[in-house]
Amino acid sequence: MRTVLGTRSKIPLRFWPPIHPHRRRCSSLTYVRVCSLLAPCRRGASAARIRKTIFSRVLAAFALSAAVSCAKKAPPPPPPPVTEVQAGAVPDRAPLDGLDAAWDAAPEMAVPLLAQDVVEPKQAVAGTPTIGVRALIDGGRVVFRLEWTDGTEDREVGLGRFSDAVAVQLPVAAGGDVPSAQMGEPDKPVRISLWKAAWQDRPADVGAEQAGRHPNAAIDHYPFAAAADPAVREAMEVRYAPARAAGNPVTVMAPLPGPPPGHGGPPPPPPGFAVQDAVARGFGTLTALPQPASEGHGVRRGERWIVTIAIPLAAAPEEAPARGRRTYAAFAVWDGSARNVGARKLRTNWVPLVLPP
Amino acid sequence: MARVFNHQLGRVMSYWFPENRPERQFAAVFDTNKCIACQTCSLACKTTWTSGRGQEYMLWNNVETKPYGFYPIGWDARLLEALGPQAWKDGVYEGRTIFEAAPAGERLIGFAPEELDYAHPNLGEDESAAAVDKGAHLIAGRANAWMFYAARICNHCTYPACLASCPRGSIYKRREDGIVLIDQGRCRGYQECVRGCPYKKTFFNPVTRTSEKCIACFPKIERGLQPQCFANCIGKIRSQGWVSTPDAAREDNPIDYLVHVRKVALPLYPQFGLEPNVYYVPPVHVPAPFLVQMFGPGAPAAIETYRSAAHDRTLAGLFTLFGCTESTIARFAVRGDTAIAWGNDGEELVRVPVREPVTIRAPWDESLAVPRWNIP
Repeated sequence: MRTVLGTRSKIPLRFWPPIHPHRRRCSSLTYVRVCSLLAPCRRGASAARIRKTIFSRVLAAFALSAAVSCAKKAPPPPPPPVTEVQAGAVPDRAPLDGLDAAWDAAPEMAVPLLAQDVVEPKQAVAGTPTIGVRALIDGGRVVFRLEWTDGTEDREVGLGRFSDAVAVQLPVAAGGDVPSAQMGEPDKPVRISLWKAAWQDRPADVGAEQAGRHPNAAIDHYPFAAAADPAVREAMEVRYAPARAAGNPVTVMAPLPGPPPGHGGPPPPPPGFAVQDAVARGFGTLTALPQPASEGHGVRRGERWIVTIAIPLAAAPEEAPARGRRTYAAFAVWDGSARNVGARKLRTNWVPLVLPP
Repeated sequence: MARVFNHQLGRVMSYWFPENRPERQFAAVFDTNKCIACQTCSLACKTTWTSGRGQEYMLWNNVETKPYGFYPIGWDARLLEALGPQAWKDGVYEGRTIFEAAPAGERLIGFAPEELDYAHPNLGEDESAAAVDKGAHLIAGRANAWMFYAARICNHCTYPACLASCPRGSIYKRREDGIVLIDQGRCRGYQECVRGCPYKKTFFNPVTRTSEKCIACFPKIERGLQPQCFANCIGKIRSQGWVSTPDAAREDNPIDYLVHVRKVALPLYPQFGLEPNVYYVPPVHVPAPFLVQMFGPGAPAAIETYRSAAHDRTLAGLFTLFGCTESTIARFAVRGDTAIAWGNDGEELVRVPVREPVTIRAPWDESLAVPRWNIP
């Protein structure tokens, strides 16, 4: 025997769910409430009839539930993962503005970022997990749109201060036989296009930059400042700036006039030019090309950088990037606040890059 | 890493490149006992090389007061603390060098100074190690109130940390004279050398965005002349020349004689493992533990030798030659009361008396019938 709702029942267990103890009238106090709801008792109803009513109504409830479930619209299947960078063709010039609506149609591939843990100095700490890559191709360029999370905005270079940066790496030779994704190989060079926030936002001249960073600084004397002739002054000043005299490709991206006549090196890029093209044949071999060909622009959206880098299509079919050729691309990200510079970076493996004919 | 021999440590150590010594090695001896911190050397360097934009804070040559002077702040104290125990036993270093103590993923153990660390080049100037109270004063060896001046330039090390740090190979050591230079056309301003050099003698130029350093006035060196900071030293504390390895030391080479033969000049922080090539005569009045930490275990013996120079004609004669010629002294000799110096090509440079001739005149001039005033 068992207790039902606190009242000792005389109903044996084999009649469970319980039936009215007197079988001739209902009493909700001594009858399981759920059974009362499913099969309200009628005076004189037999136990078999009550059980039959309960059974039929439970069956109807299940049937109704199944019908309602089947009537709902099935959820859409998840989109297939983007496993390659598919450059979308645009008839006009692909935008350098990363917020342009033209980018909405380009599928984004989330490429995992890995710490540079191959050669010293290594990047020990991983940072943002992925970089979002999209690409558009127009008449003469392939434009990458790179988006990644970076909570700190670093637009300056100084002693112990480094700029946020991003780079696109392509094999120099077209085709699928790519070198190591780590800066290429001696006989298989890679082409690297590097964007730096500090290059994009450099002041018009070095005096403005110094005044901005150290407004209370007093400088006694520059020996070249007294020269009346600008040419003489310039020649004197460059004696104290050997990197300028040597035409250093990093120095020409700094807020300075270009090297004076008679000194080597490339001419300075126009203001706002933020991308440098280089070739590498292994670790530590990055060499800037004499003439920059790529261009780019970066914007901030919340805590994210959105940077576009436009790379001219190769003139020769055996070189990359070329129309109609499947090749590969790799990417790298530097977070200035994390003292990322040079080899201290986050990098990706090669990912497929498809350029339509 | 390669295994190389560091004679200053008395043992083999790890370095990023195999041992490859130059044909001859730029070297210098600084006598700290003569330095008065007039900073003429600093200005000579500053006006010659670092008067440009972005170089305002740079002192390729600086003079700081020890123990509390630093440029940049804490350059040595911070690294000494990070390096751990630095014990010596029988002239052999038992601790770890900065290369051997490198954390995983790094080429060496170092630190990157902040911008403001360079803002106080005269920090601690003339501050003694302890309070001078109760009428006490600075007496050599009598009290713990002491200080001395340390003039510093790039050490043009045999195993440069700046060179090992640079992932681009932008720093090189010249085969002809061992001077360490930064390729100003190749440097990309990663500042790894600034982080890596334990002596903090590479500097980042925020205007050109490359790193720069002391070049040992190589245009002068190539003409057989000593660098600007040597030629302008009014205290005559410095002499530049060439140093050999201990097994090839020559007694007539002034640097070899002071470093290897008499062992009176010692390297700066040899335990870092760079085999620096600027050697110091330790200050005679400073407690031995501090000197051993700064110049190695040979410091007490070096002081004893230095104190004996008054009765050692060769040693006294060689120190007398300091600052007596702008040319590099490649060979010297003391004959009688005269010290003689020869240049790189064997040409005689200068002869100086070991002891300055002194004449004491009577206070009354009989011929003119006037008193003589003792005014220089």
